[in-house]
Amino acid sequence: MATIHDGSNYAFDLALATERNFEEFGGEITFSGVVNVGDTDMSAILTDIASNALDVLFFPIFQPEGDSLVSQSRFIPGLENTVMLTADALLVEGFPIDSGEAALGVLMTGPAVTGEPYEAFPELWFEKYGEAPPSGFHAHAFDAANMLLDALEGIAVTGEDGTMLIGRQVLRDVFTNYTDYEGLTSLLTCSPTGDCGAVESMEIFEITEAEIHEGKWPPTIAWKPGQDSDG
Amino acid sequence: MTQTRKVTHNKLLGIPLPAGHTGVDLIISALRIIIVALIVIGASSTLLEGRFTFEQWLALLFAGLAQGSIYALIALGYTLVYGILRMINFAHGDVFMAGAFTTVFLAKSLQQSGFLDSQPLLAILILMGFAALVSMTVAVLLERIAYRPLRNAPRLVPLITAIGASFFLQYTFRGLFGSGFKAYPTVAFLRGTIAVGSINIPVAQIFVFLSAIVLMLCLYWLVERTRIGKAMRSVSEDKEVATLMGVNVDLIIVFTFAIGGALAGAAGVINGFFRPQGVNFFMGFFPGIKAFTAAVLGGIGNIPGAMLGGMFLGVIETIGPNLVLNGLGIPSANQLKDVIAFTMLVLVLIFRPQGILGERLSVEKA
Repeated sequence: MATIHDGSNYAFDLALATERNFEEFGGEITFSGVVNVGDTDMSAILTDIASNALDVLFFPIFQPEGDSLVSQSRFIPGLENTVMLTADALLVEGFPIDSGEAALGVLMTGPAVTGEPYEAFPELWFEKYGEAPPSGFHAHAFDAANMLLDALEGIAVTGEDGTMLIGRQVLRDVFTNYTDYEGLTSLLTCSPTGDCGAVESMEIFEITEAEIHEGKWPPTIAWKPGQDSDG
Repeated sequence: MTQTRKVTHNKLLGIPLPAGHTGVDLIISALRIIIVALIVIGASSTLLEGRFTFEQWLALLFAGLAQGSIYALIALGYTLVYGILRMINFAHGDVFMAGAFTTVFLAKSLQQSGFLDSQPLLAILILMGFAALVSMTVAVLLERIAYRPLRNAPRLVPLITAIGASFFLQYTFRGLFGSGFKAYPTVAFLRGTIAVGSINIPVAQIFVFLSAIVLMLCLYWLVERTRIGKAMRSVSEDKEVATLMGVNVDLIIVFTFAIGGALAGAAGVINGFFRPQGVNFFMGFFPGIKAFTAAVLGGIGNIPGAMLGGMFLGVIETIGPNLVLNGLGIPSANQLKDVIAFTMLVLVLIFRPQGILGERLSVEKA
């Protein structure tokens, strides 16, 4: 496996964690590289990667560098049969459209949101906006926004001149004390450091013709928790 | 007959030097040797290691030629303006951006209507024409508003104005179209490859290269074979004499900006079909600087020089990281692509300040 990150904490840590886990399971890392944010020409790094034997290229980077990397990879001798694997930074509706045909078969990890509270949400979203939620973290964003709005309703004070005041520390206290908040993602409980992350698992999505040409979203699930890893 | 050679001693280093040579000459000579040695060592090491295949080198070469074609088209705008006014129009990269950024919306519309796929060549010509018109308008307005009032000012003044104009254009387009990234749609016939021997050359790269060659030949014909081209050359040689001969200098200068702008706009669309992603208000900055480097590399003020310089720079910066830097054991060599491009600029200034093809300077120009 080869990995690429873009120097951001998100991409670097994901690449590092993936490398460690892959090696723990007996895999070999053949290349670890970095791209500059803003780069449009990926031919040099892709050729460098192709010169090392690899089966999978993991690139947890963002748009537009991720789009450029994918669209140029198909013209690099040596990468013809490489599995392209990315992460949720590219789990956005625009990625297959902007990357074009080259995105066909790209795999991407993303959050698996299931459960009764979430079931009706995609349909309600579609009714309101006429499209599927464009980002993989839509349910998380929905929960975060609602938690913030609920907190504000309880603590906001309106002065005589109509100015609304929100105490920073009070807001922080409300957030660190959330317990079993009924969110779309799960029952959310926040830690003293403000981490309210849902207990969740990841799925692997695959880009098909439908996402590239028909605007289908979200992409097809290629693997989900509980499924045989060979499936 | 014996010749005596006067030898002086450098005060700083205590080294005997031929007459007329200074310590600076010595340092530059040493720098030349070091840079050439590093290039030779790096390239030899990579080639002897044999890590990259012949197909991979060829793929890099074609990608470099395509990238270089874009640089060359932008570089022509720099070199035309320099040839006429002796000024570096640092806003020219943003003239390129103006055409590319505005036209991406038209390209999306043509794709959604199905016209881009049903009539791809006509659609691309329409897009290039539209982008050329937008960039030409921006370039002409720049000349009229920002540069003409400063025509007789010291050289530094329009140079600084050009940098200001560059920022002005960037943030104007950010205000107009937002700060997000856009992407050009892909066209069916540009997605494929053409097999040449054992390698597959992307059609998009061939399209970029041929389009650039055609546009450059048209420009060369315009400048060398037409009446207005002759007027451009005369203004370039000597404005006062050109005026005495009945040439409308103001008109020729506007025409020069218009042609440079139109080429940059067309380059924006060609670039959009080559590297579809990353279209935003800042997209002209680095290509602009690279194109300036290409113009200097080829010999600023010289049209064939700009073409050659652009191609050369594109190839060098695409192949260089893997050929030279990898061989020197430098990690993440691809991140230093820009270092290679700007090292080329330094090398040219050291080895051949007049550029690869040099500029045919008249006494007035020099």
